[in-house]
Amino acid sequence: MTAIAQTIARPWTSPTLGGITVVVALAAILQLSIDAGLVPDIVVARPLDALAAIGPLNRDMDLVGNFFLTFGMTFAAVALAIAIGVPLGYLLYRYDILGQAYESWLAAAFSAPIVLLYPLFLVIIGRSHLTLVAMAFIPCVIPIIIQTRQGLLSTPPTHINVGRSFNLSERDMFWKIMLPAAVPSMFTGMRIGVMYALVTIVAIEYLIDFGGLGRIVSEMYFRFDIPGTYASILFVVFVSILFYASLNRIEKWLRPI
Amino acid sequence: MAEAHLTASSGARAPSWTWTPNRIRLVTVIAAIALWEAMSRSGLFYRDVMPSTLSILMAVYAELTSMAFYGHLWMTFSAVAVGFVVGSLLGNAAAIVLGSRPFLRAAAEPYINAIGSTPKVIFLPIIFLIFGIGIESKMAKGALSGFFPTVFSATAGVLMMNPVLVRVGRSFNLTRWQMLSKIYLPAMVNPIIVGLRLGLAIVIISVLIAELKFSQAGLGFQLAQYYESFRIAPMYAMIVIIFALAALANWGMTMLQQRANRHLSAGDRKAAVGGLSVN
Amino acid sequence: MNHRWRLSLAGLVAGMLGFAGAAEAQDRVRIIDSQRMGFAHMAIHNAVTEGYFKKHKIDAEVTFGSGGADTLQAIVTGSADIALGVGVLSVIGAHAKGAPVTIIGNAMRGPSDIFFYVPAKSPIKSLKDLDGKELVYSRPGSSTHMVVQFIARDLGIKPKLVSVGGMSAARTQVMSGQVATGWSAFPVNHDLVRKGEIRIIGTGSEAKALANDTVRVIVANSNWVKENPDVARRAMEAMWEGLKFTYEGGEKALQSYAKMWKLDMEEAKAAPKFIPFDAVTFWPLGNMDHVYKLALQFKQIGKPLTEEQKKSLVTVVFDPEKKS
Repeated sequence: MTAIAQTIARPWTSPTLGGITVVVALAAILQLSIDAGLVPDIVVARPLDALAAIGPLNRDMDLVGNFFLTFGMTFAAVALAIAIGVPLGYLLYRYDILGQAYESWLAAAFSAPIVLLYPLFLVIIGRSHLTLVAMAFIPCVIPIIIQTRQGLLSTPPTHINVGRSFNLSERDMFWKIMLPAAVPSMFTGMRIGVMYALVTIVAIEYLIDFGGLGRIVSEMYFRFDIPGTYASILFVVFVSILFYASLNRIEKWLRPI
Repeated sequence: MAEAHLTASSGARAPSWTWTPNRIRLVTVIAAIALWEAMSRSGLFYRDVMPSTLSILMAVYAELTSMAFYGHLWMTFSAVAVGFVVGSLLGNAAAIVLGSRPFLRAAAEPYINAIGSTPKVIFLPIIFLIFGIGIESKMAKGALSGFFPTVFSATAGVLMMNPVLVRVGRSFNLTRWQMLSKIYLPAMVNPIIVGLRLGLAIVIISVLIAELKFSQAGLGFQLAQYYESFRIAPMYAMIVIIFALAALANWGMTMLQQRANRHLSAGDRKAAVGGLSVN
Repeated sequence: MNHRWRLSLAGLVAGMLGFAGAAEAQDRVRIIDSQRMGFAHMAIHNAVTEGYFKKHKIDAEVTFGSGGADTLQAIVTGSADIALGVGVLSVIGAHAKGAPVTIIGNAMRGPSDIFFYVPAKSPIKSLKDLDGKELVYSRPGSSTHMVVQFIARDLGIKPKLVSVGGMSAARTQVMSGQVATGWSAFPVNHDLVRKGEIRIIGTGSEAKALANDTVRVIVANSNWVKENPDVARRAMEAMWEGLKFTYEGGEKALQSYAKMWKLDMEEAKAAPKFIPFDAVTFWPLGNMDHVYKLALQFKQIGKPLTEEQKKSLVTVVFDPEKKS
């Protein structure tokens, strides 16, 4: 292929570029639809307006500083959830009777509106960012526990048999065969967990003033500043992309296949 | 069994108590109630915010014996049911598409993750525009939210599938529908069910929150009412009832899961690789 | 033969038209009540139960909203026609940005329904004792936020302004000793006042600067109003009658309020004190010049409203004074 043809074809050979191209295309369509009056601009912001709002928003409300605050709290909740969730998931796998007893309940507990109980958490844990981390911990740890257990249970028997044929010890069996096999499932749990940790943190920041991106989203929405609302939500999306990319990197490193 | 027989014949007593999942749950519930009562009576917390277990139980009873409750339950149930079915169908369909096309998956996944993390508040105006503020909007919000855990779990399920299975299907020249029903779905049963469990939970919260914001009826509406008038025991009672219903639904899914796995041998059932294990 | 055919056909058509006319006699209006338990908001519910809506041929579909921006979004997107009790600053902000919303009446002048309290054994006796202590409000940008800022200014005190979230969250935090004061809006927590568990140390009326300002309004979708001015007028007329019944209906009105929200009759009786009839009449809109200044100060609008904007902001579809 000639160099030019290769360059043109480039977006379609790289998933990242392909994804970005589609997003830009959709944004362009949205911009044009709003300009043409097909979509009311009081409901959805013009993408260009939203981007333009970032600068003033940063000056006004320290968008970048709050980005790091939200990111930090989410990170703390996720790190805690992984540190506690993975071992618990293992426990529920190792003692299958516990797993059978609790799996349904964990999934059901996931549906409890924790966010509503924020006054209770404030009282028990105190008026600090720790409360947000604690509240985000819960919806984050549950998928991790469930998926870790599921992942360990799903180790293909073939792999186990290979391990046995090598006379691996129980310990080696776990670290060399089962855990690597469970990695995709565990990381799925982490991805879901990150999503809801972030959603919870932003939701509480929205409800009560602890700073963070949720506070900015709430203020913009309240002021009916639609471009500002979308601009601040874009930064929430950045937090999620940051986590997502990191998890992918770590997963690839743990399991190169 | 053999062990018990041996120890019995050697004069020692066979263990008379064995743990079962239900007994574990019972013990857990008793421990949780004890902990709650202790905290409630300790005086460490504002008494109104941690009412005694008895008052919560009485509130549960009051709720379950009131006609109005069932009206609210029906509203929420309908919204959750429709949202769950639509969200799961779309999520699983998307997962199968993404799982079998690595390029699409690599391109789309970051954005799916991003939208999943977005505060759903920005979708509200769009949902209102299309669905109004009635029960349809709650169904839509439920479906939107339920889509995400489903798609993630199910995609992982497709990826963890044994590729041999797909090749076997292709070598038999199966149609798309046959591939779906005979190869993909049986292989993905367990990841799909995990996705459904998490998805149902998210649909429930999402519908409750939508009802908190706008409603004429529903469990979320009632919950908001109790919350705003600081009637905490009935509020907890509602949460307990919602938890119990969600646990019931999950139990149903466990039954489904066991049925779907029954064609595996006993040893494989535990190591649920999902589908035809190549042994 | 022909003659009779034509007569019966005409009769049939007339009958069908008549039937269609009767079926269309009720105009559907979607109303959002954005303040649960608000005494003056009984205007809507009494208009339903006492048949005022029906009398004016309105089929009212009432939904409960949780306030603020979401309710306004429902109006903006045309998912609802009228909303009672939306914050005036939000409406001004939305209108200035081109949203199709218009104010069709006042919902509340002055923040007298908001009160601040302390646990009974607290040493704090009045708002003036709050130097360096927490004076709470719900969230940044809310009306309570505005009220506490004005209280601090008007009373010359320097409290710590702390965001605590909703009334239930406030109660939990103040009764647990995490903050010195709590905020509430009547009738919530008023039963605690009667039982002596909490003491009111001040109400929103202490923010003298806001005393006559319209704080909450009745807002409608301006396109809907333009296309259905008569329906809007009839709906407002029905709600006005509902409002009058709420305040002049005596025991019956108080009982329907208490019953609807499961309140003690003592609470119901105290309601007109916190929310006087004078504060909730549909007109006039109070002190709008000051309100416009507040909108600018609290950044709801970026620059002062033009005369054109001020005119389109308010639409008088019904004025009880002008009723013959």
